[in-house]
Amino acid sequence: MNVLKPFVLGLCLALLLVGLTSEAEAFPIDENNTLSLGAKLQTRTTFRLQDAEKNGYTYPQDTKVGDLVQWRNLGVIEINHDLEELTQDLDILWPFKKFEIQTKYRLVGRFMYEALYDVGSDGFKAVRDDDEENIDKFKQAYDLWEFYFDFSRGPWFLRIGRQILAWGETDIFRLLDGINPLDNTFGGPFEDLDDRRIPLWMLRASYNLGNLGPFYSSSIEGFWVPGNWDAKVAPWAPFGTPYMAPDPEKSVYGRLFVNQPAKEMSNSRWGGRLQWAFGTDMNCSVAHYQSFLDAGSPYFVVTESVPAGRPLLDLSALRAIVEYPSLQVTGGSMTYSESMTNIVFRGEIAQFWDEPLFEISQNGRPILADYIPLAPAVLDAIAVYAGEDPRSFGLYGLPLSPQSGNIAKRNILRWMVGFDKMIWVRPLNRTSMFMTSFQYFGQWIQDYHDGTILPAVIPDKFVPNTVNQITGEPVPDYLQFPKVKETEHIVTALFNTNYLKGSLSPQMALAYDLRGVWLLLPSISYIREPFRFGIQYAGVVGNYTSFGLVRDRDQIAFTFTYLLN
Amino acid sequence: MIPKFIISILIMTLFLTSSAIPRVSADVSPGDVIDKSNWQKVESLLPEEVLNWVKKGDFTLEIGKMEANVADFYPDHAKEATQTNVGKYELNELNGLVELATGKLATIIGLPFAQIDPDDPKFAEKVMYNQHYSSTVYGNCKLPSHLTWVSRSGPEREVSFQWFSFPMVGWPGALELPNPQGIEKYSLLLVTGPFDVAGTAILLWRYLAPEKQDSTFGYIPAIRRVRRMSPSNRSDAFVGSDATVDDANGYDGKITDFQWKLLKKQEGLVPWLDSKPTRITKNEKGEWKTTKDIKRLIWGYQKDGWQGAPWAPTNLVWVKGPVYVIQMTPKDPYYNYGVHYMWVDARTYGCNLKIINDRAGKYWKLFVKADVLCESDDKSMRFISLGPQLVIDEKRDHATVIEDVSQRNIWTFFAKMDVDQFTLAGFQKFCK
Repeated sequence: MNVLKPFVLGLCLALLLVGLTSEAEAFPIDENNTLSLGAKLQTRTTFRLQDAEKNGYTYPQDTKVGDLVQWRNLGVIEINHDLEELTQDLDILWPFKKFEIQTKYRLVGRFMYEALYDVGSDGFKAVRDDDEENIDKFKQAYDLWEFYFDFSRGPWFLRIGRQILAWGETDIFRLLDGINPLDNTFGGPFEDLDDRRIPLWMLRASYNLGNLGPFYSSSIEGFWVPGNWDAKVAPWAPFGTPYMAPDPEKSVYGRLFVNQPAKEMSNSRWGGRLQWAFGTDMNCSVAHYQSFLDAGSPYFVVTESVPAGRPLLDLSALRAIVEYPSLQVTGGSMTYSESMTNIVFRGEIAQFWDEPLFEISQNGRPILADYIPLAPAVLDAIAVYAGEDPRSFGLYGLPLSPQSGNIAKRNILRWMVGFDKMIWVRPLNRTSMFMTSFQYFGQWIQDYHDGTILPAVIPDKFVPNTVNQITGEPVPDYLQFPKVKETEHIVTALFNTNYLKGSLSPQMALAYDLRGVWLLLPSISYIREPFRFGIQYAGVVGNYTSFGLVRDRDQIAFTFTYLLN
Repeated sequence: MIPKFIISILIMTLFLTSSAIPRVSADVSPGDVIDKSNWQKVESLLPEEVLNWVKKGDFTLEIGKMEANVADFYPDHAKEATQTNVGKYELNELNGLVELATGKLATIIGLPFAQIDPDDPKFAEKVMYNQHYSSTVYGNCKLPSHLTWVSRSGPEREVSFQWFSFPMVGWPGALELPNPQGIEKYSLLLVTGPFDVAGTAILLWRYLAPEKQDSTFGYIPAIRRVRRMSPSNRSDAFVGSDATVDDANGYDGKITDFQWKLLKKQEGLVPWLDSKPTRITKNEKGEWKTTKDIKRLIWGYQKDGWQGAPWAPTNLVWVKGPVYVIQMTPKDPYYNYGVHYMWVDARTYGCNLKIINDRAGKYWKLFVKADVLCESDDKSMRFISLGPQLVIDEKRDHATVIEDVSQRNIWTFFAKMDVDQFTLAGFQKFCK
């Protein structure tokens, strides 16, 4: 029944939509076109193009080339209603008429069903069998995705409801655009940024200040997400799902205890932005906001109080906690349109105050404790008994009065400079221009400490010269992490154009981390009303760092979409 | 030696014989229907490129006569101001519109050049200024429209959009607003369908100063942000169609971006949606709206048994009248079009036909636009509105038809709009 229900719902929705229209025509409901309905049905199948690396990050570890790793079905219904005409006719809306307040609302409902765990390989069926409750919640959702009202009068604008707000000028990676959380559980960096944004219940207002001296079209904007109403952060993918956070062993993953931010006022997101145009060619903004990072911040704790000089006998008291501390960001952005070259330059800079990091000396403090050495044979026995080898965590004995760690925090400065240019490449396309876009991202950790790492264990690393004599297996080393350097650099590029009168749109997006990782995302989409067809390859090659952590997940995705209007 | 009288008889016989063959006189009368059998009648009245469509049987032209004096279709404020503007304005060396007395950039009501000296070296530029200002006399507008891709096999895709125009010149309401930036017009285009591109929006600020490029901002739903755009892509295919942004209304770019040259003035055929005015009504807010009474334009693909091009407008009214033939050459070396030729109605300044060459000078596209007379019941309000438009890509045998004001696209003139909507903050109201 659980399997059939979404199918039946989806089928009903499809029949409804197909019945409503057979062409890609607008679907206004009223005579004045103030109320419109739009919808899409989309299904996407994704196949793995690379075997899972042995002891790698991908589960199930027997995922092979050609295996289905995603069958995501999406239904979206969207209603937009401008109440301007209704305001004239309905007495109940009299205040809006009286005070000349323009009002409209938008409602987006979303239905999602991931069929992989029901019709995929035995490995994925087993993932569901192992964690039925979580996977069943994860694989399907019915959401009131966006629902907000707009009120505007003269220079005032107010938007209240569940919505998405994006600031700044960057693509692919976010600096000032960290207000809404991202859902990385269905593709992470392989997916468009906007498809991953999760709306929040938010109050957002802006006021047009007009012209202030040499600054034109100045405006001030603010938002507030009451923490006691909505403190949602990026979701955590259950163990075994194809895009789970990188971690090589279920035992490690299972030892994580994730503490989502509590619904309380102190966990509110809020911020303000001032923006203006300078001359005819430049736009600027400065902003400050409080939000949460998408990646949780892990650190190790000892749940049992151990007196000084006494060893910790119960290793299960050693736990990894994941928390989501709020952080504040201050920054600015600019765009400049250069008329001689027709290049639009973009720049953005942001200081992340007290950003949570993983420093071994702080977050990993318990595993740095002194210990009472134990004989290798005893450690071998503990490993067999406990299901994990303490030597994997650098423990060659019983830790002496280990102390809980804490989340390290540093100020981090991030920046982006880039440019966009529309160019004609007439030998390749005589009718449409190529859009080209380049970005360089940098970051500098202030007061940097050695031992700052990404909390993801590099797979296939083993403790040197150590073999469990009972099992005969080498001992995995879980203390080999990708290091985070004091400065990091990534460049991105994007090229696209269209052929066949806009029906065929090839695109190439790529990113390169200067520490040696490539992310390649070529794609092509085709329109034949009212359908959309898309093929996207996603591949990562290079070292285990940043997006290189998903380097064994090369895939090809086929998307089929039906549109109403 | 052939006797002279025999030669005379032969000549007489030849003359009489040739007279007996039906001949098509090179002129038209209202009621004529021009098709491939009698295209010679309009041989001198149309550009060769349009004529070829008739010769091939793709177009059929219904010749008509306007039931009203088209030159009289301006709001009262525009008619009065246009007369008082005579002799007050001139173009400076950059082709900016300036007050003759002071040399300062001008902000005017009505048309700037009601009388143009035929020997004026800037004749063509002045015609284009009149064309531009004639689209501002009816104030702010809300213009829902549909764009349809049409191939030989019929319609392929449709995009719906709304165009909001807020001129800061041309009508009295505009001059009441402060304008420290020297804006000539604001406009905003909002795509409303289909679902995957709905919400895409483009905001334009055009400046009075001739040397200032347009400021263009785009909102792309996929990135959820307002982004500054380069003005260079005004000659790029608009959402992949055959039309470009600059093609709107014949030419919607900045006049100073082109070199203009009057080639000739002649008699030509000008397409109209209807020979009589369409009805407009005033609502309680004081806005003027078109009605569903407007004549329905039938495209070839909508007409049963139609043998011509599916994108052919089958029931336009083609009216003989004086036209200017103007050559326009882009200054921007990256502009996608080369030299093109515009046929401009000499009475209304409507740019109704345009022949577009590519950068290599080869014929590429044909643009056709029909205007619409708009009139209130009591005839107190009259103006000429932009009507259906058509862009044909000759190389690809493909076209895009633009359904502007129509039974499903009710247009609003003198619309009550807030200039705040066209600021960076106000633009966000249109964004998701």
